[in-house]
Amino acid sequence: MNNKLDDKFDIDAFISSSCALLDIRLTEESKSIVRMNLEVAAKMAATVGAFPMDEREEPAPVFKP
Amino acid sequence: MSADFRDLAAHEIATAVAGGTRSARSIVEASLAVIEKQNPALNAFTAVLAERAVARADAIDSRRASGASLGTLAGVPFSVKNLYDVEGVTTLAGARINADNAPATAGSTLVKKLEAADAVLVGCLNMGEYAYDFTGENAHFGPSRNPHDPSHMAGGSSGGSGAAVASGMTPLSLGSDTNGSIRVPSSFCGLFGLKPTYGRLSRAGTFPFVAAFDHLGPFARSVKDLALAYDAMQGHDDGDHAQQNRPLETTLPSLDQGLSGLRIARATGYFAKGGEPVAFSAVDKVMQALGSQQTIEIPEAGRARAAGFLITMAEGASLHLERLRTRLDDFDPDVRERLIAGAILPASWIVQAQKFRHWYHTEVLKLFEHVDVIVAPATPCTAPMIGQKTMVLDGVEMAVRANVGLFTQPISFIGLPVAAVPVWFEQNRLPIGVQIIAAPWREDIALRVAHALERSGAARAPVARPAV
Repeated sequence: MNNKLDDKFDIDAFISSSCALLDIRLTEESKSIVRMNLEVAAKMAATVGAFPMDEREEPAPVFKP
Repeated sequence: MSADFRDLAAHEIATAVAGGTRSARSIVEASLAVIEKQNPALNAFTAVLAERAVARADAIDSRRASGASLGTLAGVPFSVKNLYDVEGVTTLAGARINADNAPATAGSTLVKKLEAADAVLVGCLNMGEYAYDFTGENAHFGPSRNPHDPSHMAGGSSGGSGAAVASGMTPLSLGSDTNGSIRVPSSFCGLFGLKPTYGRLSRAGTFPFVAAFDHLGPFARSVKDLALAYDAMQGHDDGDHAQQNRPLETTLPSLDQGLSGLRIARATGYFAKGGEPVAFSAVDKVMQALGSQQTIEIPEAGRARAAGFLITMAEGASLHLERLRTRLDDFDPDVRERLIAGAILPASWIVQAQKFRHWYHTEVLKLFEHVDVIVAPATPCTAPMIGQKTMVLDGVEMAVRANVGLFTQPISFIGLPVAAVPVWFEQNRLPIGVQIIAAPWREDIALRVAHALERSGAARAPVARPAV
C-alpha cells in the first residue's frame, strides 16, 4: 500500500488545501465529484503500489541528451 | 465500381481517379452530399471544408489532365478529428475554450502527408473534450452518434472519426488514441482502425492530451485502406520529439501474405473476464478464423491499466492546469473534475506508475519471443446508449466513461501496435471489436492478420444504412 485513504483520512481537507495551493477554486458540488475521482485514483495507486518493485527499477521515460 | 459513393473503399476511389474513370471532383462532391444528408443526424462533423475540398479536387483533376501521375490516395476524401491542425480552422480539441483560439496557420504533419498523396480533406470531426473520453459525447457540441443505431454512442474520444467512416461520409478518417480512442470507436462503429507503435507517426500539429501515450492513426472500412493511409503517413519530422527516426516500413506489399509462419495466441487472465459475453465471443470467432488455440498471459495487465490511468490523470491535468484556474466553468462537466483530481495526485504515485511501466514493458516484450500476435477484446461491451452513465460488468456497476477502455489501456500503456477488427453476430444489431496486437514496429503483421480476417469474412465493416 502506498496510501491511507481510509475513514480517518480527511479527503475533503486534502482536496481543499491542494486546490488552494494550485489556485483552483472549487464549489461544494464540484468537490464531491473530485472526491469520487480521487478515491478511484487512490485505489489505482494502491494497486500499483502493492507491486513488489525492485528498488533499482527506473521510470520508463529515458532522457537522451 | 458501385454506384453508391458510400460503398466505395479508398483504394477503389484512388484507382478510379488515377485511371480517369472518375474525377476527383465528382468523388468529393459525392462525399459532401452524403455529409449534408447524414451529418445532421450523426453529428460527426464540426467543420465541413467544402470550398477547400472542391478546389483541391479540381487541382488533382487538372494535374491528371496534364499527364502528371497522381498519389496513392488520389481523390480520396478524408476527415480528421478536430484536434488536428488544419490551416485556417481553429483547432477545437472538442473544447469550447479552444474555440476562442486563432485559426491554425499551418496543417498538421499527417494532414499534409495525406494531401501529398492526393487525398482530399473534407472536414473536421467531433470528439470528446480534450480527448479525455471513451463515449464520443460532448457537452458543448453534442454527442457523435453511432451510424448503426444513432441512439447509441459512437465511442470516444474519436467519436466523429468513427461516425464519419461507418456512415460512408468519408472512406477514411484520422483519430488519436491515448488509452483506446481509436480502438473504442472502431469497436462501437464496426470499423478497422490502426493504432501504430508509439513514436511511429508524427504528432506535430495536433493538440496533445498525454504525451506519454498519445498516438495518431487511421480508421477505414477496409484493411487495404488502412495500410494505404498508414504507409503514406510514415516518415520523420522534427516537430514531435517522441517520434522515432524509423525507416519507411511499408505494409501494403505484405498485406496478402496470409497467416503462414505467424504464431498467434489469445490473451487470457485479465483479458478473459470483466466484459459482456459478446466481447469474448468475438475473440472466439477471430481465433477460430485464425486457426489457433494457443493462449498467452500478459502479466500484470490490470496493474498496467491502473498505472496508465494515473499517468493519464496527472499528465492531462498538468496540460490543462492554467485553464482549470481561469476557465473552470467552461469545461465539459464530465471532464472537469477528473482533471482537477489529476492535478492533486501525489507525485510519488506517478513516479511509481512510470517505474512499473518499465517493468511491464520489459516483461511483455519477452512474450514476443514466443508469439507474433496477441488477440484480445477491444471493448467490454457493444456501444452503450447515448447518455448512459454506468454499466454493469461481472456484477460490478462502474462508470462508462472511465471504464470502456479497460482492455485497450494496458496495450497503449507500452505503445504496442494494434489493428482493431470489427466482428458481427447475427443476433446483434451492433458490432464489437477485437484487438490484433503485435510487437513494436510490426504494424505490418497486425495489418496482415486483420486483412486475413477480412478476407475470411470473420471481420467486416459494412457501411451503416440509416433507417427509413
